Amino acid sequence: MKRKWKVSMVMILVLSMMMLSASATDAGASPQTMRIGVTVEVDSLSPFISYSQIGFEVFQLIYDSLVMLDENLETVPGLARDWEISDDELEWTFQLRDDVQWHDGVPFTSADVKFTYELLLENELGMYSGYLGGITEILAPDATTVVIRTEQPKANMLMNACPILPAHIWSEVTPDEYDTWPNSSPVGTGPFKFQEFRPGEYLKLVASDNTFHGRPGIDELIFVLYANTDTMAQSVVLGEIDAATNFSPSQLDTLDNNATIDAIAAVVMGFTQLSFNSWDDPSSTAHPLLQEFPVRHAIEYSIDKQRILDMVYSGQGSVGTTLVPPEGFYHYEPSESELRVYDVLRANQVLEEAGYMDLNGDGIREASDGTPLDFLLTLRADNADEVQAGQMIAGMVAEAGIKFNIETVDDGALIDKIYAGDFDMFIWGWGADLDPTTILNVMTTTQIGSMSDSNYSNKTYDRLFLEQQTIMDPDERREMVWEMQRILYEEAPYIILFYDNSLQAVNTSRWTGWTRIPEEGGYFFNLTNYNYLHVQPVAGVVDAAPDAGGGIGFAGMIIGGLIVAGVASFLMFRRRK
Amino acid sequence: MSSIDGVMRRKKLKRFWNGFKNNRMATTGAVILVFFSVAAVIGPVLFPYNPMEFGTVETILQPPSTTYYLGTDNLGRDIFRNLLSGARISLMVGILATLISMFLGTSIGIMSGYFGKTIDSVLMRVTDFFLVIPWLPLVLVLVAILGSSVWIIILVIGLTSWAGTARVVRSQTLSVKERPFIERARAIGADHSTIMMHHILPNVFPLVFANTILVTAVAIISETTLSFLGLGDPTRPSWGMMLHYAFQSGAASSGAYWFFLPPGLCVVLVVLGFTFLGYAFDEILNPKLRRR
Amino acid sequence: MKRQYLAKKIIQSLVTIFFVLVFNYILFRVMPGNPLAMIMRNPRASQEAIERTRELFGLNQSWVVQFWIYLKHLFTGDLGISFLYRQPVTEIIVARIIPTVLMVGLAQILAIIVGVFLGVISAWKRGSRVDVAALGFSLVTYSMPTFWLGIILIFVFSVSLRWFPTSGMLTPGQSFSSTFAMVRDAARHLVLPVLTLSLVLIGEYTLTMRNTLLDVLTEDYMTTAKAKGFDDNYLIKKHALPNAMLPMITLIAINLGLVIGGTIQVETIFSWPGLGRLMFDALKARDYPLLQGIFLLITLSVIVANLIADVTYGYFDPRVRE
Repeated sequence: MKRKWKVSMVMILVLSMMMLSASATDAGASPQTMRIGVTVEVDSLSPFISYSQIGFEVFQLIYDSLVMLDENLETVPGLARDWEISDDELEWTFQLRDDVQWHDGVPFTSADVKFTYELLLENELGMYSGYLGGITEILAPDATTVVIRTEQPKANMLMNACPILPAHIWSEVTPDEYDTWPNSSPVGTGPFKFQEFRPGEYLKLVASDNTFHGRPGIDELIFVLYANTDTMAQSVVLGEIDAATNFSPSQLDTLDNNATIDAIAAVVMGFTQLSFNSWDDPSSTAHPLLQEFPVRHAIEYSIDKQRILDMVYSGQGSVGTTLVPPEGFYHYEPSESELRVYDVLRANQVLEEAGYMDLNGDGIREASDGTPLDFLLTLRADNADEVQAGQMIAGMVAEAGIKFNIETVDDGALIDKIYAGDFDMFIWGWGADLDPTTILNVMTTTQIGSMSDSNYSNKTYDRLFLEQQTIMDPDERREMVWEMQRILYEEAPYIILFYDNSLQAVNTSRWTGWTRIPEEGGYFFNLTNYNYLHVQPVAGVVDAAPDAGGGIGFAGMIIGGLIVAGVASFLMFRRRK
Repeated sequence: MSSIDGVMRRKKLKRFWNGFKNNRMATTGAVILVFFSVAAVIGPVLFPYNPMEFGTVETILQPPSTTYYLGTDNLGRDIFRNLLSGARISLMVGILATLISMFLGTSIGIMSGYFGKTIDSVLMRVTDFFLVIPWLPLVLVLVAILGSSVWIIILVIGLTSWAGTARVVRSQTLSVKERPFIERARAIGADHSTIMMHHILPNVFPLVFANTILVTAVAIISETTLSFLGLGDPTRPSWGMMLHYAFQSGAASSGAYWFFLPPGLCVVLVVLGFTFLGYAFDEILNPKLRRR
Repeated sequence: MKRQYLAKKIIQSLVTIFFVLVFNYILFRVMPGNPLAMIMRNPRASQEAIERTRELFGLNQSWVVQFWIYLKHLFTGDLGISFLYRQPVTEIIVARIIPTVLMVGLAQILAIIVGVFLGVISAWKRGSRVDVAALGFSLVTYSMPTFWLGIILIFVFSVSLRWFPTSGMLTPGQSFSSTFAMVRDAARHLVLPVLTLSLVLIGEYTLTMRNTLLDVLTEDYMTTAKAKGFDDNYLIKKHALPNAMLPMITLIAINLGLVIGGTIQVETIFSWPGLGRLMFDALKARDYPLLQGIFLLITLSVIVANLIADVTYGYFDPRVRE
């Protein structure tokens, strides 16, 4: 009886060892699979519902838009092979490709374009409807021609990333279902076909043979969801995944120490800002002293942005100035006289000139009526970088006689505060588009109560915003966009702290042909699908997990520590004689 | 009468002390806790720590050296000093949350057991509710609602962790209630509150003590967990916050063991100290568990 | 007598469930945080879309109306639609139940087996080195923050030794040649999360087992039996264990709620696609319907487990019935 038990125990042990130690990969004619680690998963497969960046990334693989961006972020033909604009700049004619089929074999025609655009315009749903602003009419005179009419000239017509959806599938959906219809098996025209989405685990796409892009070098493309970046970094090193994005800065160096891993800090169209509550209504809870430009300027002068970047972000990113990030054509760089660089003396001087003195000697300056420069800085608790940056800022402004008290809340609670206008200032960031309209929109008066996170309002700015959208000449348009940024920089509803970097890593021993887009940009999440189409597998390499460096020491130390602890406790608890 | 009570109590105390002295678990737990208490009280005085004082780029993530006994963190702050200040916060969270929980658990348990009937069933339904509701998720939600300040964390942990104590106290009260001296006290006209405060409480208290020491351990672990999940109080450099920053900045994968291991070890030791003490008390006070 | 006891327990459970329902609702409605957060964080979202979403979820109606709708739907088994994923809450939860039950179940079983085993030997060999080692081990692992233990295990077993994968439930996107291959892959992924969770759980089981066993072993009938010269092994198996299992059953039932807390951490560390992480994500996104659904599910299962434990207890232990 007893022996039997022992034997079966041993059997179980041996069996489980066999099972576990065997290699996990099933060899065979294995497809070239690329696995990309991400930290956020698609919120929905419906372009009407999704608002996430990863959603944007996935849709541009499954679907196509009329035009797309190439590796230089220039507009190139997508579903439209050619286009022209009428002399009055109000009518666009797109000539569509005639050889495109949907993944299910149904031919693609101009009716699909008309259907998609009309659907979005009527329902104003999702992250893409904004691209279509100003369009009044869509015509499909024949199967390969689309005519789009606008009320006023539409400057960002060719920046339109709106995916074209199959009319034969979406016309089955009734209008009141648009908000919830999951589109759980999307059919597109794009270079990749949807295969499988397992929430909490991964999303799998496979290369489409039937696409005008030509067949990609990647057979299977899998976005693997990670709940934390530390194991994601290790997975890249171990070869469990081929690429990943969204690392924390200090992981970058560790990754870069591996010869086969290319870890980059990519500039992205995004920034981290300190937002002030600019609600000027006296009945609001906005702090009146924060409405004073000198106070805002003094705060900016006293913040050593570079030091925060170096310490908290391991030097990844660049010091921020104006609203439109520097990668684009529309970024305005303040002139020498306008620019506010770190200078504590200057900060003190600005405050003194504006009449803020520390009269009671507590180290905090007061306004003439005795109100101290004492503010509440709200930070997002689960963003360690922002919290630490906020703490450093609080230390820095103290040098100018300004007090920041720190409060942390979670994302949801912060949004509540912003909605209610119940805050002094907070830190978070925005991701922008190549076309400046998207980000400029956030600061317009009409966005108060929805997108605006500073309650900022300026009539000149609002007027310029509407006008710039209609200027077809890029240089002329840029003048306006510059003027808008100049206004914002002067009135400083935001202090743009940094232009963010996106930290990405790819395994170059598995895949080759990576291109950074733009020059200093990322391999993915760069508004294009270029790399997904152009990287090629390295010949002959199937499983090239490189060796982990320095890990043994760590494990040895822990095992050693455990042994020491065990021996110590054993000695301690030894039975008394 | 009171003198007899006094003698009895002194006798009991002596017996307890003997049991304590001879219990390895109890003494080890006590040694650990005394060590950390001393560190928490004296440490920050000898090695003051200001979390708002940051190092420079050169002093980021330095390995242990003679300048920084346990190295520096990702903002160039001294980890050894941070650990000492962290001891204060972690112990404070543990002890204050336990006091709240002990107060609630004991009073609800005694009232429930003593009054019985409707009061008992109402209080026990409330207790049941707190026993079945998933504890950590509830704490997470409450802290998310009320904000991540250390006081709120203490309050939330205290307010949600008393149910176990209440149950134990209730059943003990039920048995104490039947003893003759309660009957006597009632006969000479003592009112409910006197009986509960002076006759029942002293008899259930040892049990409460053993039980709530374990709550302290749970409270400290919970604060660590909350911090790890990003709901800690960033203005207080607790061990949990250290671990949070270590994890968020990728200390483990970049090999900065001095950032990642010490706070965790401290948590383990302190929690172990309280756990040892709690179970040892249980053993000493429960005669059946004593050596045959 | 027994039927009455059972009826009483069931009524008590129903009362608790009602408490939970009301509390659940109120809790999530007073929460600050806007469920539209996700949409508002995308600068491409239009105002109309935000307004439309608010209407879709009835957020423009009063609390009372919303509560009434909630209750009405609940009785038809409809938990509502997730704000974030726009899919029926029931569907989302169902997809995540299996991974969690699998991991938690295995971890519980492992912890119970090891805990009972350690508890028995340490009670039997009370005061010996074995007792000390067993107790020391289980208390040390019990004292570890779950996430910290998990990270250490990853670095030892995945990064340095490369025995097990770092995260996930299956090798992502792998197509398996056979069911066996899939089970093998899942097993490799299961080892570390299960180990982490069970290590943390073992301590309590060991101690409870040890203490109740010591309790039983000092009972008169055990002493008598021992005096009569019965074999130790026989005594433990036939008399001590069955009696000592009763408190264990209660502990296991109560622990179910605690384990969920542990799963949030384990699932975050190991990127496990389970309920704990889903709950935490839902909390961050203020996805009330999803949060309510998960809370309801967890509490219901704890209540049912407790009911079963109570009934088992009542069945085995005649004292409880009277």
